[in-house]
Amino acid sequence: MDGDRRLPADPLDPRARLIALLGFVVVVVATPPRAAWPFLAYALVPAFFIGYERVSPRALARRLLFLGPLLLTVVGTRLLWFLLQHDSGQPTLQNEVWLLAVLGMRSGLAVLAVAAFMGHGDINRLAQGLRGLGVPAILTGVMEQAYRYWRLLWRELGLLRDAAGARGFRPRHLGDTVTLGRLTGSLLLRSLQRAERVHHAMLGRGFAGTFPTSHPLRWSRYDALFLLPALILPAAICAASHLVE
Amino acid sequence: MTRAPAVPAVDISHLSFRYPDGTPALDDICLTIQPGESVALLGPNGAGKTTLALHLNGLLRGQGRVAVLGLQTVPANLGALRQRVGLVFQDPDDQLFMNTLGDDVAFGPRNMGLEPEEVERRVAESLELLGLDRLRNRPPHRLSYGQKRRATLAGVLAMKPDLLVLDEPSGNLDPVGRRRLAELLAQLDCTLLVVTHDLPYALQTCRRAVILNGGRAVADGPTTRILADRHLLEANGLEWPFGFTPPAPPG
Ligand SMILES: Nc1ncnc2c1ncn2[C@@H]1O[C@H](COP(=O)(O)OP(=O)(O)O)[C@@H](O)[C@H]1O
Ligand SMILES: [Mg+2]
Repeated sequence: MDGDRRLPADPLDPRARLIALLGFVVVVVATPPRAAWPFLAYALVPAFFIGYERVSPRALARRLLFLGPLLLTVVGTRLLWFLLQHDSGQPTLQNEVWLLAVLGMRSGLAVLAVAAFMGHGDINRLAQGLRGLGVPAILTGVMEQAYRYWRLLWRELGLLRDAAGARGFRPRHLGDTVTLGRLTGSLLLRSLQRAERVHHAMLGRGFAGTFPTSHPLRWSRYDALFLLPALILPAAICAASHLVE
Repeated sequence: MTRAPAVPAVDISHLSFRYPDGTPALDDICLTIQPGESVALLGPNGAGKTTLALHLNGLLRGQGRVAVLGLQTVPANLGALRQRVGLVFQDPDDQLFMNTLGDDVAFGPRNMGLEPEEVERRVAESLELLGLDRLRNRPPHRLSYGQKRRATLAGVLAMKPDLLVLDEPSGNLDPVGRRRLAELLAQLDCTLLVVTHDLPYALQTCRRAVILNGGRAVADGPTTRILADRHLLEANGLEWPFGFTPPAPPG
C-alpha cells in the first residue's frame, strides 16, 4: 500500500522541468500585448499538463492566491505614479485596465506554469536540476535551507496556535493584538532555536551543504516526450501572434 | 598485559564549556569509554548531559581535549567523525525533517556518499529493525511520538555508527516501547552512551554509569553500585522512582 519503492517518484529529469518552465515564461513575456487571444491560448499548455499530472485543485488554488497581493501592489504603485506625475498626459482608463489585464495574464500564466511543470515539487530534486544546469551549489543550498525554514515556521505556528487556543485564546478584541504580537515574537524566536537544533542534527548525520538526492540526473525518453509539447506549443502560439498583426 | 590497549571509543580530558551567553555547562570533565562498553550518563535536568553529548561529534567545542574513536574533534576530522558517531537527539522533531520517513532515514547514508543500492539496503534494514517498514512513505510529522522516536534511531542506525549516543531515549515512551528499545540496544554491537535520568532504564541498558551534576562528573562505576548508593543519588538530584527496588550492591 506504500507504493513502489525503487522508482524515482518522478520519472522526469528535473532539468527538463526547469527548461520547460523557463522556455514557457520567456515565450509568454516575449509575446506583444496586442490581443488577448495568444495569452488565452497559452493557458491551454499548462492546463494540459496540470490535468495530465493530476495537480490537486487545492495546490493550484494556493499558488494562484499569490497573485492577489501582486496585482494589488501593481495597482497601488500605478496609482501613486499618476498622483506624483501631474504633467503627464491623461491616462485613459481603458488603457490602464488593459495594462493590468496583461500583467494579470502574464503572471497568472507563470503561476500556472509553475504548477504544471514543477510536478509535485520535490525541492531537493529541483535544486539538483538547477545545479545540473550550472547554478552554483551555494545558491541552491540557500534555496533549500530557506524552504526548510519556511516549513519549520509553519509547523511551529501550528504548535503555537494550538498551545494558545488550548488555553482559550481567540483573537477577538483590539487588545488581543498585543498578545498576537507576543505570539509572533515567540514564534520567530522558537523557530530560530528549532532551526538551529535541526541544523545541528543535520550536521550530526554528515550534512555538508548540499542535500543528497536518491537519483542521479539522467535524460530519458520521458523528458523528450515532455519537452516537445511543452516547448513547441508555446513557441507556435508566439509565432502565430507575431504573424497575425 | 599482553595486548596493546585498544583506542578508547571516547577519551575526554579536562573539558570545560560555556554557552555563548555565558552559562557554564561543563566543568573540567574527564571521561574514558572503551569500545564495546555501554555507559549511562545520569544527572538531573540542566546537569550538562546534552551539552556533553553534543561535544562527541564536534557540534560543540569547548576547552580541553576530546577524542572520539581515535579522532580529535577538530574541524579536519568532523566529516569522518560524524559518519561514525550516531547521535539521537532528545526531541525527535529536531531530527526528522525530510518529506518522508524513507527519505529521512536515507539522509545520513546519502551524505556518506554510499551507492544508491547500498543506501536502499540500509534504509530497508533499519526500517525493518525498528518495525517501521510500512510507514516508509509517511511524512514524519504524521507519525505518532513513539514512531518518531524509532524513526530517529533508524536514521542513525542506517549509518552503522561505531559509537551510538542516545539523549533521553526512554522519555515519553510507553512501557512496551521502553522494553523493545532496551532489547534492541542490547543487540547492537557498538559502543553505547545513554543519556538519561531514568534510573531503571540505565540499569536495564548499561553496565557502567557516570553521574553528571552542575557540569562536573561526580561519580563513575558499575551501574549496580551507583544505583544502590541512595545518598550519592540524592546528593546529585536523582532519586529512586516510587517502587524501585535497588540492585544488590556488588561484593
Ligand atoms: N543553547 C543554550 N544557550 C545557553 N545555555 C544553554 C543552552 N543549552 C543549554 N544551556 C544551559 O546549559 C546547562 C546544561 O544544559 P543541558 O546540557 O541541556 O542539560 P541536560 O541535558 O543535562 O538537561 C543548563 O544550565 C542549560 O540551561
Ligand atoms: Mg538534555
